Amino acid sequence: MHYLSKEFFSRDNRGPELRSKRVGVHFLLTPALFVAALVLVAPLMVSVDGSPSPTLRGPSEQPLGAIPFSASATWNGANLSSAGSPATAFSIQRGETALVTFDYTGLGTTDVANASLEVTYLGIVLTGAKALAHVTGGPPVTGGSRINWSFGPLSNALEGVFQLTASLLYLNGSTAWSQSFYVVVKTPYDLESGTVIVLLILVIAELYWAVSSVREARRGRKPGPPGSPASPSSAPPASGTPPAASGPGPTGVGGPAGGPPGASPPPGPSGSGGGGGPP
Amino acid sequence: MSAASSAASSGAVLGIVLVFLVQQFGLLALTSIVTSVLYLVVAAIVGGVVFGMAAWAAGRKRASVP
Repeated sequence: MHYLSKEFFSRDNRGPELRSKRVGVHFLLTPALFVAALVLVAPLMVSVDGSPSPTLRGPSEQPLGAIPFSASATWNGANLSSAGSPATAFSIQRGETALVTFDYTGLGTTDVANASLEVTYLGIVLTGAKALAHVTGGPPVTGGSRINWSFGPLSNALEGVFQLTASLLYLNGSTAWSQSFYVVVKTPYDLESGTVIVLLILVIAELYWAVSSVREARRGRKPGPPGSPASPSSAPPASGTPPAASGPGPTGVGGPAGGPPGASPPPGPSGSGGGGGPP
Repeated sequence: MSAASSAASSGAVLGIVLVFLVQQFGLLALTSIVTSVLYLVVAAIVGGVVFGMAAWAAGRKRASVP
């Protein structure tokens, strides 16, 4: 704290020791600011528009002079990179079919065998489609594939945003190229989906239970209105009165039948005369 | 089980259910398991704390009234 005091930084106290310490502080502060700026800017440098970039694997390390492998895919004519986030997801209705077209080019890519499309939800591949890839010309080798994709029977139970991964696969099953994009699966009426209805019922039920618990807590430390049974947390049971020998009603007006004659019964939970006031 | 803990557990379940509902309405993507679990845990904690505190505050307020 001494170094932060005003007297310490006053001009009178500025000596060589202070200067060296301040230089030391700057020496530490500058790299820290640089690292902080790098951490903030790095995500922007990776992808300016926020869309995930296609991933090239395997023979992307082409020999010198070869045309590098490149691929692209479209969803009903729109490039997949335009749906890189849930906000810009492609939309598909229940029962609708989308045409996903794959194109690739490059030397040494004749071993691209399949094109595949997979839906991922909670880390699990829900459903997928696969089609054979075919060479259309060359050299350089060009090829492509087409998949007519629909969400299938799952759309009756599920809707919402899902991530799809489009991939080109080699003969041995390894991935040559892949790109992830988002699709919103919609039903004609949003409430038609079975999961939405179940979730809405659950929300209503949980809200009811939560609100009634809050109400219970509100009533918990206050005696109930006259004539009504008080909650167990607010009114402990009267001691010395066995349940079989209690009065005719919960108000306890009659008193215990087996008690000594002339002895007044202890007051019940809600009073014997209907007072119900605070103790 | 006290009323506050009952409200907290209901709030936690409500938070989890709301995450799935938001996903169904197309506002959230639950793609990877790590991100999804993170969303669900945070929603459960927020819901539990909100409703648990509400019940606790309601009981405390009523207790302070003569």
